[in-house]
Amino acid sequence: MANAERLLAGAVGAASARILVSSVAEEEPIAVDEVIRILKTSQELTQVNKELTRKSTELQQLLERLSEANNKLQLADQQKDDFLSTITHEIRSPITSIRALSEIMYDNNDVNPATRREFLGTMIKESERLSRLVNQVLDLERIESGRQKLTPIPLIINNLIYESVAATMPLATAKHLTISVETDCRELSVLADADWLMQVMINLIANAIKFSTDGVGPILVEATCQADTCQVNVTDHGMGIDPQYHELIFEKFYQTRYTDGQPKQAGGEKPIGSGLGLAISKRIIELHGGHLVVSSQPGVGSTFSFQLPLLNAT
Amino acid sequence: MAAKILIADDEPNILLSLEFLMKKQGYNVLIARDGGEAYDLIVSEKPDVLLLDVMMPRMNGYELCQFVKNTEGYKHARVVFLSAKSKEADIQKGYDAGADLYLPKPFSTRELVAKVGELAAQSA
Repeated sequence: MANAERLLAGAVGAASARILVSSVAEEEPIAVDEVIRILKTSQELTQVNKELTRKSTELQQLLERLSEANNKLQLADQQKDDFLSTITHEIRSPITSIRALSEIMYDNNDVNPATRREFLGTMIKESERLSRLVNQVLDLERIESGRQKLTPIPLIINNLIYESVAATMPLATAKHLTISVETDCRELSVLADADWLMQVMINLIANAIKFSTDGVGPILVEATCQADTCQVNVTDHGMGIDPQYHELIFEKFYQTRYTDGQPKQAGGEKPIGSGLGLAISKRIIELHGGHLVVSSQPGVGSTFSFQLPLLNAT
Repeated sequence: MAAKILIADDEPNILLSLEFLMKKQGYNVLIARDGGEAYDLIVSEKPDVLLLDVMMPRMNGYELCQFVKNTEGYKHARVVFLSAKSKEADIQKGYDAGADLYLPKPFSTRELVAKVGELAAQSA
C-alpha cells in the first residue's frame, strides 16, 4: 500500500496520493469533484515545477554571465595596472636624464661649451618627449572613454594628403628621404574630422620615416578612389615588421615592451616615441568607420592602409 | 690604477650623463647599450663596478647581476641597479639577484657618485 502511495505521489503529489490511496484502501467512493480537484492540483504542481526548472536555468545563465563580466573586469583592472606601470616608466626615463644633466651642469662650472650645449639640447628633447607623452595619453583617454566626439566635415582627400606630406617633409629631409605622392582622387571628399585624420596621416608618415634607413626611400603616400571607397596607403622601404607582430604593434606601448628579437629601430637604437601613436591612429580610423591595417615583409618595408567611404559616391 | 666602471642602459641620454659623471671621477669607463653588449664587456674587461639598468634588450640587469655574483673570477664586482622600476617588490628582486645597491630613477647624481666611490673602494 505504501508502495502504491509512493508511486502515485510521483505523478500527482504526496497529499493527493494519500487521499486517493486511502479512498481505495478503505473502499470509500471518491467524489468526482474530489478527483478533478486532485488532478487539477497535480496539473498545477507540474506547471510550478516547469516554471522552477526554467527559473533555475535562467539563474544558471545569469551566473555564467556574471562570472564572465567579472573576468572582464579583472582583465580591465590588470590592463589598467600595466598601463600605469608603463606610463610611470616612460615618465621616469626622461626625468632621469633631465635631472642628471641639470645636476651635472649645476655642480660643474667647467663643463666645456660644446658639452654644455649637447646636454642642454638633450634636456630640451627630453622635455618635449614628456609633453608629447602627456598629450598622447590625454588623446587616447578622450578617445577610449568616448568623450571625444568627432566633428566630421567634407574633407577633400588630396588636401589631406598634400598637407600631411608638407608637415612631415622636414623629418624626411633630415633623414635624406623623399616623399612621393600618387593619387587619383581629384576633388573627391570623405566625411571626416579634419584634425584627427590629419593626426593619423602625420603619424603614419612620421613612422615610415622613423623606421626607414637614412637615405633609403622614397616614402610613398597613395590615395586610390574606387566606387564608393577611398584607400590610403603609406609605404616605406624600411626594416619591415615580422608577421607575428602585425597585431601587436597597434597595442599601447608595444614598442617599448621589448624582449629579444622584437622589432627595433634601424641602427639598433631604442625607438623614439611614446608608443601610443598607432594605438591612437587605429582608434581614430575606427571612429570614422574604417580599419587601419599593416602589410609588411621584414627587410623589404611596410605599408599601412586604411579605407574610408567616399562622400557623395556615384 | 683607476677602477673600471661598466655602464649599461638602453637609453642613450642616460648613458650620456652617467658617462660624464664617472669619467669626471677619473674612472676607466665602459659603455654598453644593451644587456648583450654588457655581458660581452663583463667577460672581456672584468669591471669592478657595474651600473645596470634592469629592463634591457637581449639580457636584463637581473641576469647580468646573477652571472657576476655566481661566477668565479667575477665575484669581486659590485653591482648597482639604476631602474625606473621602483616598487618594493622590484627593489627586493634586485637585492635577491645579489645587487649591492638599488637606486630608483630618477636618482641623485651626488648620491650615486658617493656610493660608487664606496663600492669601488670595496671592490679594489
